[in-house]
Amino acid sequence: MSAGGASAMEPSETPVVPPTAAESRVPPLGVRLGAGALKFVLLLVFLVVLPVGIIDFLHARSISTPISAEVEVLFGLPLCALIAARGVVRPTRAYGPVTIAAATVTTLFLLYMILQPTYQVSVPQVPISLAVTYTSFLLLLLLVPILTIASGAVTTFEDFRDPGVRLEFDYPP
Amino acid sequence: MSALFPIVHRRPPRLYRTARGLRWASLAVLIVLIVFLGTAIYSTVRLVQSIPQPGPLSYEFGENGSIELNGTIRVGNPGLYPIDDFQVTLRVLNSTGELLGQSDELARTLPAGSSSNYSVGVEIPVGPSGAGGSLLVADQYLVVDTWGNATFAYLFPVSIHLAQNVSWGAPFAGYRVTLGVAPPPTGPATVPVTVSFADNAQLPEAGELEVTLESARGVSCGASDYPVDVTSGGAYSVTQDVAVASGCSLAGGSAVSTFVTQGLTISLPPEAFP
Repeated sequence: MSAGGASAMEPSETPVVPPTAAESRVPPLGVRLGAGALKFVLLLVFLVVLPVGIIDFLHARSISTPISAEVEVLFGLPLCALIAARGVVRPTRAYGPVTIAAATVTTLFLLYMILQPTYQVSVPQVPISLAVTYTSFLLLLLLVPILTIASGAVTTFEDFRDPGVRLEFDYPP
Repeated sequence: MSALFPIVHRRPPRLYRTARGLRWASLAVLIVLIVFLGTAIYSTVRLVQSIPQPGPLSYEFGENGSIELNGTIRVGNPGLYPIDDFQVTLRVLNSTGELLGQSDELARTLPAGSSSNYSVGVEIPVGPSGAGGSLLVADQYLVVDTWGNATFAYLFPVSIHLAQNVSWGAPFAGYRVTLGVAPPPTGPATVPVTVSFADNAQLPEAGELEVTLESARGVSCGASDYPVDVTSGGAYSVTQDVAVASGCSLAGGSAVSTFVTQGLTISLPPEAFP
């Protein structure tokens, strides 16, 4: 079939590259998926279920909250999924982009909060009302996802330039 | 053999170290901010537990025919962070929502673990016209709005609003000037004029009431001074004969009263005759 059949390599002749020592230390996909699922459930409890419960508890007592339960779920669910997925895909090239995606969702959530920077709370039957502005704190908090995005970008670049190199250090002996 | 060829750990590539450094920096910032937020919330809880209620308001007559309401608010800061630029503003409104007076105090810093007294004073003009005049002659509930503005824990501008209904006892509650004859006469005549009120304020009143009987056109027809010495909660009712000038009609007129005490002159709302 091939004109230069002698020099062409048949698929069956593709040499099997043995895994490197680092690759052999990478946990199997099943283990990573299990750990990711566990992480997802834990994150779901702390980032979605508990906050939504607190929001509902306060709303039931006519106390306003800075964000609604719907917004909390809207940002919380993707964030939990992405953070859990990040652990699963850590040995692959998707690690950097997933890290960036998780940090981007966090950034969007913080920016949404900054758009309504003052939380005014008043308790029915109590003559005291309180308003707190937290813009400065949220701006400082934005440093966290911004640094994470930068880290993810560097990792993405590293994975495309030197694939697999970081496995030796991510999964040390 | 291993002594001849010791295991040497390869140094991670620069990109790997950069990514790892950024991750650690991110984690460090997150931990610092979480610790800061935790301590700020703890301080807020301690602060809320010690939020004082403003003390009762006392009053005195001011030099320019006004009533000065004075009070003290003791604010403690048992938290871990200072309260910067803490400013207390007091607004007094009557029961219909009209603003009677407002005070602004200079901003102060309350260091962590300290407490301070904030004296607030509101000067309310109480001329014969205007919303403040009713404070002299009518018991009522006042709305006292206390605003506290500050920056807490360096990063959080906070505004606290406390609304209170305060019972106000008027110093000349139910003030009446009543002519002893009806219909109001035209002078020359001598008319018994009764002045009555109750001192529902917290302080006794001692001084002199100068009562002027005026015609409908505002012309003074006669006047008399009523000595006043009433204890807090006491009633006052004194009748004196007042000479009405010749040709001066009190029909449709009014009694204009001023209270003079310790060099201060307070104008009371006029009392119309039938």
